[in-house]
Amino acid sequence: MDIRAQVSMVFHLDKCVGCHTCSVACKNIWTDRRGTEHMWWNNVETKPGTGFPTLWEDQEKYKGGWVKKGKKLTLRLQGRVRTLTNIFHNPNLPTVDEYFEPWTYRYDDLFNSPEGHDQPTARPVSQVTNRPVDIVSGPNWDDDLGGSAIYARNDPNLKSLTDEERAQLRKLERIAFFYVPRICNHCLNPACVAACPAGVAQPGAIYKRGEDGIVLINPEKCRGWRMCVSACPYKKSYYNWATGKSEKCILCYPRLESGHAPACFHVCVGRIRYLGILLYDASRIKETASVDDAELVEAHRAIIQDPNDPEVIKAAKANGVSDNMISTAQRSPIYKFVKEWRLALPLTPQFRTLPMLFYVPPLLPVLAAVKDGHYDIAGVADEELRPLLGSLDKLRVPLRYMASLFAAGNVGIVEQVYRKLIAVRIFMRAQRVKDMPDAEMQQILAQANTTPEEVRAIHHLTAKPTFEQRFVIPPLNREMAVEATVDPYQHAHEAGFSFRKVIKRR
Amino acid sequence: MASKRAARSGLVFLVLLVGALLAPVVVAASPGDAAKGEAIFKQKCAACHTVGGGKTVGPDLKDIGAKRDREWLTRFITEPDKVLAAKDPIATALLQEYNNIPMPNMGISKTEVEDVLAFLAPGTVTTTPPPPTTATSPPPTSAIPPPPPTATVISPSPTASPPLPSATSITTPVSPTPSPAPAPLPTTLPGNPQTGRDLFTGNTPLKNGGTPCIACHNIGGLEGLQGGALAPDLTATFSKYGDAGTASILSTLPFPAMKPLYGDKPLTPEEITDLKVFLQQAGTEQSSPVAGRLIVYILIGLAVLILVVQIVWRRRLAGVRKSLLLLR
Repeated sequence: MDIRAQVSMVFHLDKCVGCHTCSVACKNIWTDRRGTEHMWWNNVETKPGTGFPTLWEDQEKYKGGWVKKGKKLTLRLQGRVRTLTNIFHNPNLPTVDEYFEPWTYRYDDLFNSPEGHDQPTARPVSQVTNRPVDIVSGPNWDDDLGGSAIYARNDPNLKSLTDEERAQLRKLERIAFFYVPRICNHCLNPACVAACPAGVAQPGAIYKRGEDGIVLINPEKCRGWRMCVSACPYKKSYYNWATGKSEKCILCYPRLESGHAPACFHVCVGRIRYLGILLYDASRIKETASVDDAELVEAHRAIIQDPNDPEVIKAAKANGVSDNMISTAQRSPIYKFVKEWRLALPLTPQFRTLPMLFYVPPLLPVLAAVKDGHYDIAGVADEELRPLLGSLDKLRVPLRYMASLFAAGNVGIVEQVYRKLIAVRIFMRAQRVKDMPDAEMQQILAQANTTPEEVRAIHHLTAKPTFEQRFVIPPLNREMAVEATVDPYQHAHEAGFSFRKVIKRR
Repeated sequence: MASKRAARSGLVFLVLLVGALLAPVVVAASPGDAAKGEAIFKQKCAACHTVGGGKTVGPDLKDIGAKRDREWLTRFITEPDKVLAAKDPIATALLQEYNNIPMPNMGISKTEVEDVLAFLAPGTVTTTPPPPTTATSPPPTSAIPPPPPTATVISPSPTASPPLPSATSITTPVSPTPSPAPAPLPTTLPGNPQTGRDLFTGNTPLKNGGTPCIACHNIGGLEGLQGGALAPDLTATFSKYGDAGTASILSTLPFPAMKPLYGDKPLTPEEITDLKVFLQQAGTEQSSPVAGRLIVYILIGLAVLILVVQIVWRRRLAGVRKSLLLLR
């Protein structure tokens, strides 16, 4: 056993209202510099949709993540030989069109134009070239199904559906969508780290931080080969064209180190975000990432270790995980959602990077029944939610879509999650309105494989958690870690995203 | 330390300054040194001129002092290009007589002219002392060839008039006026034309390390990419200059552009023999202009390069979002 600690996350999609506050907070703090205009370390996508950058899930095109070849796990992008031959021209990079050409407006023209007969306008200009541009796409171009005839229609997850199901999804009265906020997953098996050509000679420019598992790029080592941009299947590593370095989400580690939640977590209006420590067995990463698609989610759950198990605690301590870290892991909301309740699932686990950001699938678009082939709200009210338990296969957004997104196609796993989510809803409703006979309630709980105590705990952490319950931030003791080299007070002033010296393009 | 070094370099500078000031006094005092003049003549003039040996490329200069005014001679020797450009009647007549081959500006300074004239036309005395502007040029010595001429010594502007025989003037058919040096019939000359060809193309390096001719010149009968387009085509050279003229040109390579290339890397007598016979042989071949072919080759090369890039990186990522718009 090689027990390590990882700062992990859960996003509860049922609570996301798609307000993009997280994106804006992140943008304002980290990516408002020149060269980072096209970066959205945090972005919120509408599903069905093609996301940002366009069609990022389609690894036939982008070549991100890992593939299993027999027993071997290899990068889909390239091996070492191809890394060398492609080093001056990486052929699998998204272009600016796949992101969007960042633009601003010439606001000055509104004030400084000479007097005339026409109203002055603020023309859009590119933030890269400073020349006028025609805006053809943006980071949320398909927000709320905008342009769905082009974008939502080409969602790669729709391939798992039948033609009939796809046609029904496009009918006005059946249209459903939900939001998927995405940040860097800080994976256990990060493809970006593996693909970094600078990493051939240890240590590389990208690394997974030992104490908390945050994946970071060292800008002083980065040579801008951009292999991480291609290799990350989530396209969460971006190239800064002004400095010639790549950058990515840093999980606001300076905030974490001073005990604050990352900015996107802190500002979240729907309070959908949870953050805590998971303990995992690093010796099993390769084995876990190499299982068949259908078993990926189970294997991923299995690599996460019980923080209350004395064996695990002992192994963790042997590895230098602090007592504080372990006690934080024992209170982790992530451990409850992912492992105890088995509600949160990794995003597109088929890329085999073992992402450590988990999603509770959205109940909302699913919780609408079809009666006699029609979407029937009245019928649902009449039957008091009961038909939902038996008709999971007739939902608005088919389960197979969710399975493609969260379980590498394993519908059984998604179905278990939904049964439990529905059970929580029916049980808590019955507590208040007393509309469900006890016998039937027992049956529902049994079907969902849960207990009244668990349901109450899920309800509490979902609906009314406190700030401290959502964000169980470990004391990272950074001041102690840096004490040897820097004055801790000095370090507190310096923490942030910048360069200690002016970076020149190489 | 630093001040000592500065003092020493200051001393060196002082010595140089005094030397530079004394030099013109020495040179101006003498009307011209015939021995020096002979050396300069052999080095720079003998390619085209003889003294009492008859006409070759240019006139025989025996008793030239009697034929021409000394001032005119001085001016023509120092800057023939300007005199020709000024349509001087004597110079124009000479140009026509000598096959339209203009005399190149050899970069001979006015002090050197005094020496040359002392050798060619003894007895005549210059009426104008040499101007002091030439004082800084070092007095030429007979043993060491002068350094490659600097821009100030050669004609100041290349556009003023062509100091070199241009390509057209060489390739034009020989004018009906009788050639001063009757081109010898293609009788058997000594030397191996094949060796000459190898020397020309650079297959065999020149012994003293000179650049192979092909780098700048084209010539009839070459294959493949042929020769360079920087300098005149040499196909008609032999028939134009004749055996003696070609030999003397090859031995001195008197053209200003070739000076820096061959000044300290002259051709050996064997190489001259072989090259001369190759030039004679090449005169019977056809040559085609280089520039047009080169563009074709460049275009073909570019097309091949683009093709290779397209094949090697044919699966590169492009137009993901745009292809969605087209699918619609």
